[in-house]
Amino acid sequence: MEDYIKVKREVGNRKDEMWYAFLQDLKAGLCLTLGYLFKKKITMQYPYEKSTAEWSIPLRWRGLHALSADENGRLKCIMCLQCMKICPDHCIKIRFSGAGKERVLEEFTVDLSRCSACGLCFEACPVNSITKAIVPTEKYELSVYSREGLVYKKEDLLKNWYDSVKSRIALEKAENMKKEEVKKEEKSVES
Amino acid sequence: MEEKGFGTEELIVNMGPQHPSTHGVLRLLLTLDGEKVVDCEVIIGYLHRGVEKLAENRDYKQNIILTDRLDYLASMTNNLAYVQAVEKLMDVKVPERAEYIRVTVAELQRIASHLVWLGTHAMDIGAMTVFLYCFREREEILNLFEMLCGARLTYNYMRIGGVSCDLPDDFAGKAYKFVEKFPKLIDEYEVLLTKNRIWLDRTVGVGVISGEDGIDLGLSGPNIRGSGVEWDVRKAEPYSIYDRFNFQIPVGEKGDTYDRYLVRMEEMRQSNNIVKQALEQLPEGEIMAKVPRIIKPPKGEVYHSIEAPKGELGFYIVSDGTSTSPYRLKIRPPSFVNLESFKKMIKGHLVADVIAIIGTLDIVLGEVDR
Amino acid sequence: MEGIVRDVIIALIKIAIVLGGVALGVAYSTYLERKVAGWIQVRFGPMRVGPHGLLQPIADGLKLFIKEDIMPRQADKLIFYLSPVICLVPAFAVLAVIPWGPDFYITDLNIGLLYIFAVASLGIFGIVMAGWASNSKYPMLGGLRSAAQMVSYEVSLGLSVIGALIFAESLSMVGIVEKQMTTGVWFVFLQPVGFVIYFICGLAETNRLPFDLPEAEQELVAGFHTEYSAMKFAFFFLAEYTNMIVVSSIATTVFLGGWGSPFAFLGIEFPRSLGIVKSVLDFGMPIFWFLLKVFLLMFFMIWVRWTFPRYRYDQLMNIGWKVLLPFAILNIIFSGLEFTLYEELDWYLFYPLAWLIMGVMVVFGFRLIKNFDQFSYSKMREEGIE
Ligand code: SF4
Ligand code: SF4
Repeated sequence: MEDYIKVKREVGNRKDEMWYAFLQDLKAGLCLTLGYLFKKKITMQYPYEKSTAEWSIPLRWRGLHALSADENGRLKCIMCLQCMKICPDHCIKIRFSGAGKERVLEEFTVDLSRCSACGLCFEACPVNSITKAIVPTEKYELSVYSREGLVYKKEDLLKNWYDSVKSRIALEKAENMKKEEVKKEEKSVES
Repeated sequence: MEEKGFGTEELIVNMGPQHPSTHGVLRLLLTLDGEKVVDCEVIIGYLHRGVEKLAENRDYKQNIILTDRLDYLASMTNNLAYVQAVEKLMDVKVPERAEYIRVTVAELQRIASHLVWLGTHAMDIGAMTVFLYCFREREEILNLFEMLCGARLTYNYMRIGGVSCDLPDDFAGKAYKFVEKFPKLIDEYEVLLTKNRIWLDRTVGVGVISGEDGIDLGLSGPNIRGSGVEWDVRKAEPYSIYDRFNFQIPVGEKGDTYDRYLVRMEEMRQSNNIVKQALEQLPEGEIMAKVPRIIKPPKGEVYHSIEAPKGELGFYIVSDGTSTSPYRLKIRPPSFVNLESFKKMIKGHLVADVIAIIGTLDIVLGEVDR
Repeated sequence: MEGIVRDVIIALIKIAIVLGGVALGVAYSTYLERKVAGWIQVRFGPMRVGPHGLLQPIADGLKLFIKEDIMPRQADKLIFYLSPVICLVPAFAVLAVIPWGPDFYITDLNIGLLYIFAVASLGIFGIVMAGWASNSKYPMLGGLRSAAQMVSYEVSLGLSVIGALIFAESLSMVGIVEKQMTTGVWFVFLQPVGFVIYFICGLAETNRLPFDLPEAEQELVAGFHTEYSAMKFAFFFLAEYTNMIVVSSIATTVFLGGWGSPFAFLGIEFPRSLGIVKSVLDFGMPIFWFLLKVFLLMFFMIWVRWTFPRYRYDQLMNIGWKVLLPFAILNIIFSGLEFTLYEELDWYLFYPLAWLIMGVMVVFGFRLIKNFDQFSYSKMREEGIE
């Protein structure tokens, strides 16, 4: 197969002359648009309609940040500061007290006014029990009335987590895992 | 003072930076004689963010997100060019599956970018409906990308050594469905434009540039291929795994707006073919090569270029071997270089052609100003 | 004395009805425009204000009414104020002679068509003045473009109806329709070429795409009304759509049989037994047919707008002078021949023959003008490259 091909260029073709004289080129276009007049429309009536049969927000959507918690409501974050370091826009601020295993998370803020939604923080987080410690949620309506509103504190981030479908999915997963474990244990007991 | 009798003067018009069809914040200082453009000065820099300088203070991984914001209509290919440059510097071998995924998304991105070009170009010339048809298809591609990486415009998808996440389960199926129906939709755009007498009048013989002039001015991508120069980085210096696919590169002959239009239309079809082949051959396996967590390339410099939708996109990286951020990053953005030939194309044309020629050059100001 | 007073009052009532109707029609033709545009582009169009967006035009009107009226500091104040009015008044004045139904028109001038062309062409003054008075570069370019455009297309517009006038043997709008009623054939069947030319010129006269150069959005931002806002802008808007209605009405009157029903040849009449209903129907049906035809033409104009790209300025001129004008003249010559045949032959001989000649004329004409029409212009340029 040849690497390069010449495009077909048909300008002022003699054969087409009559085609043009009787406005056939215009007719072709008009027929096409007329056909569309009665076709099914693709508009989604946002904000009344937030998902359609064809589209709904995918789970991978890099939306509002959230700090995930386990089924007992404890934050999964281990304060390793990976997310803070990787963030190209320096929007994550973490402060903790104590040392070693006794560390307590004092402050965890995400400044969304600077965030470029790059997703690096989610990726960098080393925690991986069902979900990462910092996760993106499917929320995309991020506008607020003041700049301060864009700075998400630890509590807000936790609330985001519980507002999101991801917490439900994670919970289900956790329950399933538990059940399986119980089953396994039962099996091992039986055997 | 000299007494001026009954005479005519040239009119200086500022087109842009706020103008509906300068595709962003391009400013053109047109000197008009009636409707004829006698001189034109292109003024850029309204969107300058200092990407190259910023890159010197961020590490290699963080720089990927800067490339997203160059040509924001084709983030995937920007990502690709950058990560491949770094990989070349570090000598990383990318896993098969990752390569296939990269090619798939890069070609889908090319289609998406060309669709935006077609839509806006047609709209500039007055055919508004084509714009919405194009965006309808582009939306589907964006939906695919959104499924893939969670963003619609600035994907930040590729990583040094692979890609950030594997394809979701239904991606291949949906992409295949799109690929199957897309050629028919291109035919529809063609019904509205290719043979339409008004479209012909507006594009044939407008913005002509010869192959030699194009080469002299550094024109690349579909713009130079419209002038009949057979140059496509995918064929000339195959990168990634482009040598495994069956595809052809269309070239024009006259170098006018119509030729560039035809070339891009055909290119969409060919990209569609590539996506199809890539999806069919998609192997299983890893998506990330083994790369150190902290990327510190050895001392050296590298230039790598790929065929972005707008032309040849190159990254030149100098690494001093000790730091985690590049010592110098230089970008060769296709739009910026292509814009150079604008002045040559516009001479002697009419005001309306200014719009047509900006459209046909397919510039994105994010990339021009960086 | 009493007679005069009564006449004046009746005339005033008629004027009020027509103006009110047209204003409403204009409002809803913007709605139609947006809906059709939306549907063609696989969108819904206006949906939010009222059911299916039906109240959208009213909301738009209100919005324009209460918007801030901005006057550029450098503008020529008087002309700036005057031009929207000058644009609008002729558009409304033309409505006086349009026969909406056999018993419903404001007046019947015996030179109706002439009056329309004379008055309608005044509208461009408004546009040129607007372009000039804004004292800004884009509006000025738009104004100049429109001056040139309207003047050129006026010629072909006038010539294109002459063919039909030969058959009508009258300049009165009512007379033209009545002639079509009595002969039982709409002039579009006798004059298809004339109709096409008229329609193309009509598009140009109303500044509709593909000829909307004076306001070419992508080039001149908004052309002559770039600097206008609020009610003054609304006036231009109103004028544009009124002109659309006028152009469609003239086409309906001259070519499409005016208020005549398309089923007239069936000879159905409303039975006498209906009484008062019959008289209402007799009065209303013609108006309905007229409005339906106008609506269809308007729809077609909108449809065209959302399908095609826009011509360039020089091409526009080329088409006006080098394509449409020769064709219009050819058409007049042909019409003379056709009229003779029409008088001489039976219909089953006449129509095939006439249409054949017409086809030959189009082919011949196209060949003839191909040497200097827009097409060869592109070709010329193309050859220039080689
Ligand atoms: S998404 Fe990116 S910019 Fe935003 S907080 Fe995470 S790492 Fe920072
Ligand atoms: S990377 Fe994860 S675990 Fe570490 S500090 Fe950030 S959120 Fe917490």
